Amino acid sequence: MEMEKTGAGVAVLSAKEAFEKLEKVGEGTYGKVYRAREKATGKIVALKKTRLHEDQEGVPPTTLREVSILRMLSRDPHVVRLMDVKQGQNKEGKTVLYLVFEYMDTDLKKFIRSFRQTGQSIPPQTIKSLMYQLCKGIAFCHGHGILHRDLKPHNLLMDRKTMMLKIADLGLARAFTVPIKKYTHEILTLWYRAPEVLLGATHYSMAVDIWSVGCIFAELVTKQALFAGDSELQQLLHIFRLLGTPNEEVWPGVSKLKDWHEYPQWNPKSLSTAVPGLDELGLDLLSQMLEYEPSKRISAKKAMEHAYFNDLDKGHL
Amino acid sequence: MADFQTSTHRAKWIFSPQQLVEKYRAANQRAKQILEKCGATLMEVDVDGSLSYPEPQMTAKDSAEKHSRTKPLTIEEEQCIKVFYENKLQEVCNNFRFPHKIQATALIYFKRFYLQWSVMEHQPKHIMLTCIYAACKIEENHVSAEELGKGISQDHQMILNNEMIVYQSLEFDLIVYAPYRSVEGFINDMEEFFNAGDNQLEMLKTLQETARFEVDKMMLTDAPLLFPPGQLALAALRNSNAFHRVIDFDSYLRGIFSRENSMHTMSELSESLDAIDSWVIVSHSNVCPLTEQMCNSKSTFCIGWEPWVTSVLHGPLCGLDFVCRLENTKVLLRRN
Repeated sequence: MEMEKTGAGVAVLSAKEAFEKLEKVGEGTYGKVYRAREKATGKIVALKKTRLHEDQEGVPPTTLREVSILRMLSRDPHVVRLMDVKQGQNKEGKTVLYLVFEYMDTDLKKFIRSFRQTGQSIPPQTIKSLMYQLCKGIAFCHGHGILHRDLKPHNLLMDRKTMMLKIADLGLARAFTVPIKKYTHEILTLWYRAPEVLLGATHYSMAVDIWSVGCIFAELVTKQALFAGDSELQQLLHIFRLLGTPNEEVWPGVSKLKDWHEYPQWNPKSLSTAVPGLDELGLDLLSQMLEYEPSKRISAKKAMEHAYFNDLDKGHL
Repeated sequence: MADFQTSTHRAKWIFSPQQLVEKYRAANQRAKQILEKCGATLMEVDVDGSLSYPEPQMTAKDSAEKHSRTKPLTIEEEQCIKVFYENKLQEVCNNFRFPHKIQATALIYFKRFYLQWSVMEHQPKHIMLTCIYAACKIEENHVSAEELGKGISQDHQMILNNEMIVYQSLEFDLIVYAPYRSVEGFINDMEEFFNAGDNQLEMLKTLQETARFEVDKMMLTDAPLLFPPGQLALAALRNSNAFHRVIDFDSYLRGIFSRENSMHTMSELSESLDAIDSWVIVSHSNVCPLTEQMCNSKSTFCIGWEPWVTSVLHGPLCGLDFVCRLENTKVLLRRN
């Protein structure tokens, strides 16, 4: 089922006519997510419901951004495929919009939790494969001029059988341009938020996504969030405790950032203390993803070429 | 940078002149058939984006009466109305002091919408405002529908009602590329290429300003549907430079080709830029009297598809020869 043309004179089935809802599988910012069956083909899909007219303002900008960006990115195997956009009405007769996605049976958050609950480690080759797919998907987004801005395990969908990983939830994503504009400060889940964003930088780029990828990498190994702060300040302090308090020497310009204050002085620790069990090559890649200075942080494309991935069979990825 | 090469804009929304003619013809033809059948063409748009055409006429007498009152618009006349509202769109954006990017995005949405529909089917006034509203959302410069409606004494519900049909008609391809950004990029590149000193930097700023006016003119033609934004920007800069004589433009173009591994030749690019120039000149020399008449009238935003429009349009109107122009203009259309 491809995104259908809604040009003049084409009859379009409503969501209710086209799909049978099977179960609710999640809840997003603007509405629920359902597993559903397409009546015409029997195919299982995910329906992401968006309520319109929240504040009498029609389609939420996040939904618009997600749809328009996915229209560009959905060709990549590591970006979730948007198949269609349908409209319908809820029980109160209010208009709702349904984004029709390919169905994926789990996400990375649930996947990590299942290992944590059984006390097992995620096999190193599985971590490597998932990380490679994530870097590949992000490289594709960045290559098309798209920043995700909200990467976290919950937004990385997976197929348990094939171990295929796909980037989802591009509601906060945006197309970036040169010169890079001032962007919103209040984005990204705290735990995966880059230090430049936490310190109030209004000009930022692809490096914010790479920081998030680094945090996810560490979490795959330890099954715990690397930096689990419950406020912006606490989040910064968690980072500084492990990586050392930054200064002008390691990160030129840091003290001029809007929210910079005098912070407690910590010396950097070895990453292996926080991520035991990750081999030397993995630690090297992780350290390049967690560079303080955004311009020094490794790119997704370069990360794919890192020696850590040398022994991975990339043929099917 | 957000990549035009791999965008839906490049893949789906750059056309050949023949394709444009076909699209305009198809929309116009459909509206004529509906007028024939129903005696009216304006579609009812519900808030969920669902559409309904007017009910067919009940009796032959009703039908005959209606037909005596209402004549369909020609493609040229539709074009006049669109140009009028594109001018209005720029005016509204200027009054709200929206950034240039919003104006450009809204204009491109408006143009794309009327590739699918006739102005006889959807009120251009409403669609124009909805396109501005949508552009504000997508460009992260959000303005409320109420604020936008109030600013020009229109009911904001009409904007919300049309929102879904606009997105559907644009096939949700909402990331668009306008030449303004490319102009900026080329100016930055020229600064480096010519190793510009303070004096030349000032002159390049002037060049950029004039080029932006050139782009404003281009945006009121079909050029954005026919040429990639980079070429439109280069054509604007070339015209601006012909006036200000700031740089040796040919040497700059040669510089581009020596740095890029382009599949195309310098002469092909020059032909494309010439085609853009002639396209814009022809478009602007054929502004129809109706547009001028409407622009000078005090009652802004009065025109919609209402019976009186026909009588205005069927006055002594020198047509745009629009279709002939489209079919005869030899446009070198490079898609990259």
